[in-house]
Amino acid sequence: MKHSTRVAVVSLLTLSGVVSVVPASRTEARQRGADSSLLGILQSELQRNFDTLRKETSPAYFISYTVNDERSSQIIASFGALDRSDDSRGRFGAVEVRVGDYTVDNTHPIRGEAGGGQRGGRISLPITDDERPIQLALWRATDRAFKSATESLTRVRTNMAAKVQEEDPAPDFSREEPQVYSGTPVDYSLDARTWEGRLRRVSAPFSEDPLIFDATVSLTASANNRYYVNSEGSRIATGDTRFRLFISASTKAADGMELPLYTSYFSRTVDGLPDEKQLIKDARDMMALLANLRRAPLVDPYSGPAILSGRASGVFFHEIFGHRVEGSRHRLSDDGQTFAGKINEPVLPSFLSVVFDPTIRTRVNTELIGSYQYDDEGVPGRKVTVVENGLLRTFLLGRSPVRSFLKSNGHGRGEPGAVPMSRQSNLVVEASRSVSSEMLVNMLKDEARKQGKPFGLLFDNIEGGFTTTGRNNPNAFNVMPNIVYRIYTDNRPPELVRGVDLIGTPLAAFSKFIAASNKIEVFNGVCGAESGNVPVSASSPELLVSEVEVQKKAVSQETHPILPAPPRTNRTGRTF
Amino acid sequence: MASKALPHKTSGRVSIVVAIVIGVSVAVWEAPSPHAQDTPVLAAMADELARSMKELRLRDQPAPYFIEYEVEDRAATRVTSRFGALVEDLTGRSRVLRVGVRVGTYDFDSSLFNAPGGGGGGVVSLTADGSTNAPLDDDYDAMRRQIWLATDAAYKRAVSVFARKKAAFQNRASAETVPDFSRETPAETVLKGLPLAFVNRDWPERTKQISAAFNGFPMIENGEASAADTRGTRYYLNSEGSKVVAPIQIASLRVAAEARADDGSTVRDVFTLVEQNLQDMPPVAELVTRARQMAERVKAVRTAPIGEEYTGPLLLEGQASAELVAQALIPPMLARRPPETAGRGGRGGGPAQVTPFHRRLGLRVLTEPFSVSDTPSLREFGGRPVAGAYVVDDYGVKAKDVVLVEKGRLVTLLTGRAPLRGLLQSSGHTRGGDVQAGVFQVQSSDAVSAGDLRKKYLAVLKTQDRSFGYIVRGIANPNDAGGGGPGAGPLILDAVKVTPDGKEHVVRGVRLGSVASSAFRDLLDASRERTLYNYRGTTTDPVSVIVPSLIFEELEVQQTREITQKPPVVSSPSTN
Repeated sequence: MKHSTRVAVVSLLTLSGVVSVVPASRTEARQRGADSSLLGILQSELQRNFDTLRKETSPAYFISYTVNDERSSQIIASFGALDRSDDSRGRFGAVEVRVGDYTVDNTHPIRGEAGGGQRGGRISLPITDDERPIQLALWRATDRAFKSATESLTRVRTNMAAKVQEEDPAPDFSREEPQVYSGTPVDYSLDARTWEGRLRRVSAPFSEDPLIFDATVSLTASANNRYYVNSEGSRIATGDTRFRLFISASTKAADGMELPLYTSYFSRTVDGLPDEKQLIKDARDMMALLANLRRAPLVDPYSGPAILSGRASGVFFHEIFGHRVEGSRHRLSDDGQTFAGKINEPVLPSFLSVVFDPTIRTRVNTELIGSYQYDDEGVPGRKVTVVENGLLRTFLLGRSPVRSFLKSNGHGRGEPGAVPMSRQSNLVVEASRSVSSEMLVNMLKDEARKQGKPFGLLFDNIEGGFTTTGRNNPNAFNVMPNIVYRIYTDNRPPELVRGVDLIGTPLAAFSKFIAASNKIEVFNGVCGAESGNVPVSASSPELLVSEVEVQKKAVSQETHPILPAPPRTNRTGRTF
Repeated sequence: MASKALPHKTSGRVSIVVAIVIGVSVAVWEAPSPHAQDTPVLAAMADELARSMKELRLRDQPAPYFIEYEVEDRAATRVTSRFGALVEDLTGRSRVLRVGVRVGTYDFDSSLFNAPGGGGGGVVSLTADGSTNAPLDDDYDAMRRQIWLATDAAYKRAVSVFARKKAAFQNRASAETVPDFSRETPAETVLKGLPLAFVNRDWPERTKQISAAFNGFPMIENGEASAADTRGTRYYLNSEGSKVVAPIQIASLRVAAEARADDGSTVRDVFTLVEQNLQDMPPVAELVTRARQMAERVKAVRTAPIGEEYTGPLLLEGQASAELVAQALIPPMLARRPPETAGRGGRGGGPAQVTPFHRRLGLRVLTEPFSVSDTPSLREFGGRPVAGAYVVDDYGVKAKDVVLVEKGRLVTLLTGRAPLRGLLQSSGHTRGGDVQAGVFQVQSSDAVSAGDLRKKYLAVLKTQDRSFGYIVRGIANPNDAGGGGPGAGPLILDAVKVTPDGKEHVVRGVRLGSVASSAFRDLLDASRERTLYNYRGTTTDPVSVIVPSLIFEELEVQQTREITQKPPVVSSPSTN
């Protein structure tokens, strides 16, 4: 199992100064009560199917329908020219049918069988509320889901009879209060022409550097209205708009090493994105940093103290800690279950707490992408303190319980069409004591001196990472820092280095945090795992670690182009 | 002589126009636009081509002897409706740059060799055929920059492949010396590209109207209509001096319906019309009528008995005959030269497979009265535009009309620029990267009227003392309805069992057994009326076939034997 956090970052403080981010200004004009015609169609078709299927020999005891109405626009520019400008609109349905009962149903993990039965899948639906085609598509999908669920349940029962008693006989499905909520549908308006021009201008400076071989600026705007009904009586309509802007560019060192940098911005409103002047400045800063990286010395394998910036710490916690407190993993017998049996025991130094909170929408003036009102199983998102002053208190839970945690805490998530599992939301690392940023650097130098090292490392930014939690492969992590400095114990200035991979095993890493600063940063990204891509954030103060291990990054064999870049002429004809 | 359009007497199955055979075709192409100024795109292509031919070279490695650039500037739309409701409405713009670089000589070069692991490469990643995305703007600098990087990558790949090919060949005794690349006369062909603006925004409404025809049929579980259109301009330059500006134009309309027989097996029917433009499609009223007729047929077939298996004479009418020719007779007529692979000669070292008809040149491949030709110059047939007509191929080689079979004997094959023994020149048939037909015509000098053909078939059944035979009127295109298993031929969409007294009985659940090209050696008879049938030969190239209805001496009809699900547990929402 591999989880990767793709890319990117809301840029704060470090590289480019403070990004002006406007807090969510969209009015929360969601009133209860108002019915939506689509919810009505969903509910009546669900009830019609449930009334029959609940009386079958292998009875359905739960059905849910989810419809995601997605509209999105994407504009991409590169070196001053438009690469792409597309819109898409679609409605997709997902049907879940459970047979058996809350204790043992078709979703029960089958030991010795990878993956288990097929579930999930999405069906396309008309984009207007036309009753008959919607009913027909749902009815057909329900029949397929029911038949596949009954087959799975047969396999589950055979498997349970044949194997030894399980370690964790938690029920298969939690009982939750039905929810009824009807928000106003959301949409966005985007002046595509204006943004096409803006992205051209923001991407144009990169063409001044002939050694930057790839540079793109992209904007993705989306509105997703989600409609959820289930046979327990929940009916929920919620909507979410998102605007994400990326600047990414890469160059090559003389030895062929690929050197990529990314900056990303997120807001729920188009006005929450930075203005053009700021974006161009950030692009130019990135160019300067790329030029410096090209000249930066290669790092040697190193073991010693380091500071992780807030963003780097956020990603580090997301990969190394977050995935291991996702409850669903604890249901699988082939999972490493790093934290099984550690409830109420210390897993982190006592000055650190870790909270997952989908209900907060901003932190340090930055909008968080991992916020939601209801999770993908129709359970209200809740703040969950997973680690309190170093002690592990609970896990992230959807409606698949683990031993002694029988209720969801609103973290059942999945991309449209995927079967939800417990996933992260807004990860928040809190430190009960902190020092100033300058002080933390001094502490790093002290620690390096203490260990007899000439320098410590500062991980300023991380492009992403992955981790494996399975039992059958090394339980390790790898995060890819792309901006790393040596901080010398003497008076030499910080020195940019390149080619660093941060490696290690999780349990060892957690005990090595020794201090935090009061400078907090946010990483907004997309996390991919078994239930698909879900937006998540991770925010943390800068953290000082007594020991990290770094290795050399694999080097690409591709050399620079043979011919120099063609001369620039600024000849432009028709623009799209 | 005027051609006469007749209504198809079977219930509106697919396509097309049935017309009396006419002799010679007339080709009228628009004259080259006289003021064809080089656009920034062409200018960037020309300038980088010149520079690369002059300067691009790795030390101690051969320089390119041939470079070609192609830019496809495309706009595409796809609109789908189901039961009168819009499901998707997508539009998109793209520009694809394809770069071909060859090192070596015409006789022995870097092409036609499978080099595992790709090799070479540069900072831009290219697909297997050398494609990458290019900017949408007519921006000389941005376009030339992308061409520069793609050329670099393609050249490095060519050098690497060439080195491995030379190594693999150094110990091979060369059995025959056929050049790797044909020498052709360079030509300039400048036609008018198609504007990228969609003129057919009324297709969302039309697909709604067409798919609404299924609304009156409660047994139809899925009924949809989907229109797609790709248009734009193709720019091509090569280092031999060829230059092409040509329109890209392909459009299709697919109408499909699905129901379930009482035994749970699926009954589906589909027709796909392919034209150069959506404007060339029949009027919407006619399409609605066809959809309704299809629904009626599905309704009748649903309750019809499963057809008995049968081996013997078979009458294929209209679309069925055309689709079978496309699937079984066209492929062996294409002179496709498979790449060599690394490794020693003998076992698996040589070319994977040879064009089946290559060894049959001069021999009989069809029954004596039959002749076959490919006539890309034929623009109109029976008052309908011929979608497969074209002027110039991928390499800028003028499309030639070719007589393939005369009096049943194979004269030549359709060729591209990868020569085969005895076939050293291109007939201008490289389309979408490989040899492909344009306007493929089959006719018999001994043809009879359609009515007489049917009588002849019944007479054959009587002579052979058979109690029944089959008349097949619709065959699925493999892209539409999926292929069969091994040994299985195309799915039959519309067939009747016919007794020697002429009585027809609808059947379901049958397919053809696999059809070898040798089946065409035993054609018994053909009709004078011929069907014009178009299909997608490549993503952007329509192919037309113009063929008579045919009696085969022996073909096999098999039951599909699909694994059927039990009927749905819950009754259809339509029947409530």
